[in-house]
Amino acid sequence: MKNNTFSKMLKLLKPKRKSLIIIFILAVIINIGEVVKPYIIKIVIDDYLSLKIWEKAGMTIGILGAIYIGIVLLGSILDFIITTATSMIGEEILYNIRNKLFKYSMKSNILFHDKTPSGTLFVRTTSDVEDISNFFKDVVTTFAKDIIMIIALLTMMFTIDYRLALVCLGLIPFVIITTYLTNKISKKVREYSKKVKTNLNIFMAESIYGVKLIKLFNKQRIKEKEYSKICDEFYKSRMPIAITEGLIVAFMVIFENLGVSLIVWICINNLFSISLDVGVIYMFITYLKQIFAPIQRIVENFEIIQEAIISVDKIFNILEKDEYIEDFDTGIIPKKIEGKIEFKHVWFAYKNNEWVLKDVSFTINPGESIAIVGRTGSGKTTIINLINRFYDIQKGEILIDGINIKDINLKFLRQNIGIVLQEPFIFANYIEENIKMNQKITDDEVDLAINLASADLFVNSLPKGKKEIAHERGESFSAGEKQLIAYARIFAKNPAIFILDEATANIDTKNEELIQKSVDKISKEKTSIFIAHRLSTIVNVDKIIVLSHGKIIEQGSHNELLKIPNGYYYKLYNSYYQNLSV
Amino acid sequence: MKKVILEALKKYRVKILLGIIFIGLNTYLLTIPPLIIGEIVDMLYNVEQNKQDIINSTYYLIGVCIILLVVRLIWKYFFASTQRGFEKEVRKSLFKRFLRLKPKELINIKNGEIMSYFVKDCTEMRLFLDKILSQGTRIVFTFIITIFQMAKGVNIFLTLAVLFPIFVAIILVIKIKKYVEESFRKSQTLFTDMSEFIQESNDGIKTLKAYSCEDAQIKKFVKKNKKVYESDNTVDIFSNLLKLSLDICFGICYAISLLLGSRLVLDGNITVGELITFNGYIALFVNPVAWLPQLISRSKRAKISFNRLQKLYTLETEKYSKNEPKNIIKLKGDISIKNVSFNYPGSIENSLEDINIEIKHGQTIGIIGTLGSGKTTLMNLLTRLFNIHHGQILIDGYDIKELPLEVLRKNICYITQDNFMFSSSIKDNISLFDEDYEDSEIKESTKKAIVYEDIKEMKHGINTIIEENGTDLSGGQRQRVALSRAFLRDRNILIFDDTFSSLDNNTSEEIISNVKKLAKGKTCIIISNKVSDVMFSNQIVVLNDGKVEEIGTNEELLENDGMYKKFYEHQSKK
Repeated sequence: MKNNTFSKMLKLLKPKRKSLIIIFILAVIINIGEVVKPYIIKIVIDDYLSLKIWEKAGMTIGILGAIYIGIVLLGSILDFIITTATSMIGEEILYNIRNKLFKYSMKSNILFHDKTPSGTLFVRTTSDVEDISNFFKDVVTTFAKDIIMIIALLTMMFTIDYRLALVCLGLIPFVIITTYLTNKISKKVREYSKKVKTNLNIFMAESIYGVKLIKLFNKQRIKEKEYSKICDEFYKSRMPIAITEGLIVAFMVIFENLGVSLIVWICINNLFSISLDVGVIYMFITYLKQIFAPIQRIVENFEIIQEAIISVDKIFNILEKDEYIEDFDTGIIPKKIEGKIEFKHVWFAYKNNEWVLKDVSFTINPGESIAIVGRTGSGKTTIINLINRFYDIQKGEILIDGINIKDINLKFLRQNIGIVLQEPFIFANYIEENIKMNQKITDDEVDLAINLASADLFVNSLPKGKKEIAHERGESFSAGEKQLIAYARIFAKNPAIFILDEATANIDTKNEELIQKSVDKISKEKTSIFIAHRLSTIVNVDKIIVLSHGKIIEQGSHNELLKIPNGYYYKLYNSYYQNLSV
Repeated sequence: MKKVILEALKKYRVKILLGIIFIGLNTYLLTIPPLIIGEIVDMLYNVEQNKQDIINSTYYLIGVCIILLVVRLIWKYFFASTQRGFEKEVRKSLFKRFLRLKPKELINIKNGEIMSYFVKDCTEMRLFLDKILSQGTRIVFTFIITIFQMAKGVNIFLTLAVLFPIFVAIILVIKIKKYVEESFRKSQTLFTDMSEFIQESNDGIKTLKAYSCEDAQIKKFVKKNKKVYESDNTVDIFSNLLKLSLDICFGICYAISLLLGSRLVLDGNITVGELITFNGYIALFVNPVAWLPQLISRSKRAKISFNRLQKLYTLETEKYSKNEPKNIIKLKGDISIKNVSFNYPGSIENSLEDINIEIKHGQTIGIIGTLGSGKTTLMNLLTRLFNIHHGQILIDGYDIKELPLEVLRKNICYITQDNFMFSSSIKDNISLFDEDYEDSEIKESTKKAIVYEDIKEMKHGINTIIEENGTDLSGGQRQRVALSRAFLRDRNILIFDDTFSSLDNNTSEEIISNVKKLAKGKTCIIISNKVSDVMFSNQIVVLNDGKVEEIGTNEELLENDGMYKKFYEHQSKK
C-alpha cells in the first residue's frame, strides 16, 4: 500500500525528471563546496599559520581567501537556484493536482457528491494538497541535499582520518534517537494541546452565537468561569511543548561539544597514534557541527513524509475512481425537445435494493403540467433527480420524446431541462451572473427573465440592482427572495421542460404571491413538473400524481381525484384545511 | 485595553525579569564554548606541556553545555508561562467584556469578527510578546555580549571589519522581508478566494450540473488556481532570496576573518586559537540577524491587532452588579407598554412606533404579524436587550430601566426563536448549566415539552451530548428541548417567540395545551405568524410595520374584518 503510494508520488515527479537530475548535480556541487570550505581553513592553519608564512609555493593566503569567497558566492547562488527550482516544481505539481481534483469534482456525478461531503472535498483540495506541498518544499528540496551533504562530509572525514571519522559516526545514533524521541513527545503534547484549543474555539464560537441566550438567562458568570477553566487548561497544555523544544536544542549543543572533547582526548592521548595537526582537529570540529543539522532534518522530515503519503493516498483514492465521471461527449443530440416525458416501470434505489421508487409509470405530454404530491420520503424529489440524470435508474426506462434519456447527450439533456431546487443555491457573485449561469444571455434577456419571474421589484430594491453581489450562499436574502432569483434563472434559460421543487420554508406573503404568479405562467405554457406544497399549485395543474412509499397510488386531475371517496388525495386535501381550523 | 495588557504583564513581572536574567546568562554562556575550543587549539601546539590543562578544558566545555541546558530550560519555562499566561489573562478579560456588551453594539459586528478577536488577535499579541522576550532580548544581548567578547578577547580591528557585512545583512534582510510579507499576504488572499470557490462549487453542484456549468466552472477555477500558483512562487523566491543574502553576507564574514585574521596571526597580534574562537563568535550572529525582520513584522501585526481589540473596549457594556444579587424580588407580571417607539442603531426607520399595550398578570396575549413587523423587537425591549429611547415599559409599576438588569431577566423566561444549543448534554441545555435543578425536575420539564420520549430513546438520555450546532437533533426536537427551559423554571413572565413553527400539528397542539396550564396565574406572551398559535389568547395584538394594527380577542378581531381576518383566511386556504 505504502510502496504503491510512494511510487505514485514519484510518478508525479516523472515529467520533471530532467530538471531533477540537474538539481541533483547542482546539489552535489554545492555540498562539495561546503565540505571544501573548512578544508581551506585547515590548509591555512596547518600549512601557513603554523609555519608562520603567508606564501608557499606561489600560493598565498590571499589567493586561498579569494577561493573561499568564490566558493561562498557560487554555493549561495547555486543553492538559491536549486531551492527556487524545486519549490517551483512543487508548486507546479500542486497546481496540477488541484486542477485535477477540481475537474474531477465537477465532472463526477451526484452519487459521488452524496458519498463525499463537500467539506471533505474542500479538505482534499486545500489542506491535503498543502501537505503534499510541504512534502515537496521541505523534503524533496532538502532531503536529497541533506543526504548528499552527509555522504560528502563522511567521505571527507574518512579520507582524512578514518578513526576520528568513526568517533563522529558513533555520535550520530544519539542525535537520531534524541531527535526522534523529542519529536515523538512533542507531537503527543502538541496533539493534546490542539484538542484543548479546538474546545476553546468551539466554546468561544458558541458563546458568540448564543450570547442572547446567555444574557436572557443571566449566565454570564457561569460562562466566564467555564471559559476561565478551559483557558487554564490550554495554558497548561502548552507548557510541555516549550520545554521539549528547549531540550532538543540544548541536547544538540551537548552532543556537539562531546564530540569535540572526544576528538581532543583521542588526539592528545595519542590513542591510535593519530598525528596532531591542529588544522585537522579544527576541520573535524567544523564537520561535526555541519553534520548534525541535516541528520536532524531528515529525522524530522519523516513525519512530513508520512503525512504527505496519507494525503496522496486520499487524493488518489478520489482521482482513480472513474466510475463516477459523467460522460458529456457521447449520445444523441436531437434537433429539438418537444417535452414529452414517459416513465416506464421505473425502479430506483440510492442504496442496494432499498427501493425508493417501485415500478413507477406515467406520461406527461408536451405542454402539460403535473403535480407530484405525497408525504416526506415518498420519493417525490427522487423523481426529478432522475429526469435530468443526476442518478441513473436500475430498472425500467425514462423516455423524453420517445428517446431513452440514457442515449441522449447528457449536456444537451440538462440544457433542455430547467430545475428550481427546493433550496435554491445562490453563488457569491452578481445577481446578474446568478441568473445567467454562464450561458450566453444578453442583458435584455436577463431583464426580461427578471420580469417574467416577477423578481423586478425585489431586484430593483437592491442598492445596485442586478449588479448587487450576493453574500456567500445568498445569506443576505430571504428564502422567498432566493426563490425569485431561481425563477429568474430558469426563465433566462427557457428550457423545454420545467421542474420545480417548491419550498416548504416559510415564505413571506408578499413574495409568495409573486412566486405564485411565476408558477402559473410556467404551468400554462410549458411541460412542467411540480413537487407541490402549495394547494393553489396543485389545483391548477393538468394532472396530479400521488406517491406513497415509492409507488403511484392515484393519478388524475384535481376533480377526478376528489371523487375517490376516502382516497389518499381526498384525505390529503382535507388535512390541508384542517391545519388551520383547530 | 492598555490597562488589561499592563495588568497582565504586571502579574508576570517576576517571571519576565527572571527570564531576562537567564536569557542574558544563556547568551553569555554561548560565547564560552568557542573560547574554550580556541584555547584548546592553542594548547594543542604544545601538547606535552598542556595535556592536563587540555583535559580540564574539555571537562569545562561539557560542564558549560550542561549548565546551558539547565539555563535554557529555565528561561524557556519563564517565558513560555509568561506569554501563555498573558494570552490567558487577555482572553479572559476580553471574554468578560464581550459577555457584558450591549446587544446594540453587537449587531454591527459580525460573529466571525468577534471570533477572530479571540482566535487571531489574541494570538498575535502573544506572539509579539513571545518574540520580544525570547528573540528581542537575545538580539540585544548577542550584540552587546558577543561584540564585547570579540573586541576584548580577540581583536577590535577584526571585529569592526566583520561587523560591516553583518550590518549589511541586517539591512538586506529587513528590506527583503518586507517583500516576503507582502507577497505572502497576497498569496493568502488568493488562496482564501480559491478555497471559497471550491467550497461553493461543491455545495452548489446540483445547480451547476442542472445548468451544465461544469466546464465554465473549471475554467474559472484554473484561472484562480494559476494565480495562487504564481503568487506562491513569488513568495518562495523572496524567501529564498532572504536565505541567499544571509548566506553571502556571512560567507563574506568568514572570508574576512580568514584573510585579515591570518594576517593578524602572522603579525603575532592574535593566536590561531583566537582566530578559531572568533569564527565561533560569528556563528552566534546568524540567528539574531535572521530574527530581526520577524520581530519587525510581528510588531506591525501586533499593533493592528491591538487596535482591533481596543475597539471592543470602547463599546458600551450593560451594567451588572459585581456579585450575584442575593434577594431578587419576584414580580407579579403586570406589564404596561406606554408610547414605545424604537429604531435600531444605524437605521433611520422606526422598527416600533408608538406601541401601547396593557397586560395584566394571569393573562395570555398573542402577538401576530408578518416578518419584520416588530414582534421580536418588542420582546428585545421588554428584556432590555435593547434600551428604549421613547416611551416606557412598566412591570408591576416599576420602570424596567430602574430595575437591576439581573432582577428583570430573572423574572422573565424568554424562549427565543433560534433554538440555540450548546455542545453539552441535553440536561445542561435545559438547566443552562444551573446545578440547582434535580434530574427528575428536568425530566418532568421534557415531558411537558413532549420531547421526553425522544430523549428516552437516545443512548444516554438527558445526558446525551448535543454535537456542535445541534445537528444530531431534528429542528422539531431542538425546539422542544428549548421549550423545556420554560417548563423547568418558575417565572411569572413567559415569552414564546415563534417556538412552535417546526412542530407538526399534533405535537404543537399538545405543547400549547401544556403552555396554557403553565401560564395559569402567570403572564404569558406568545409570538407567532400562525393564527392557530394565538387564537385562544385573552388578547391578540396584530403588529404591522412596527405599529399596533388591531387589538382584541379572536372573535372581536374576526368580526373586525381587518388584517387578522385576512391572515385567518389566507392560512385556512393554504
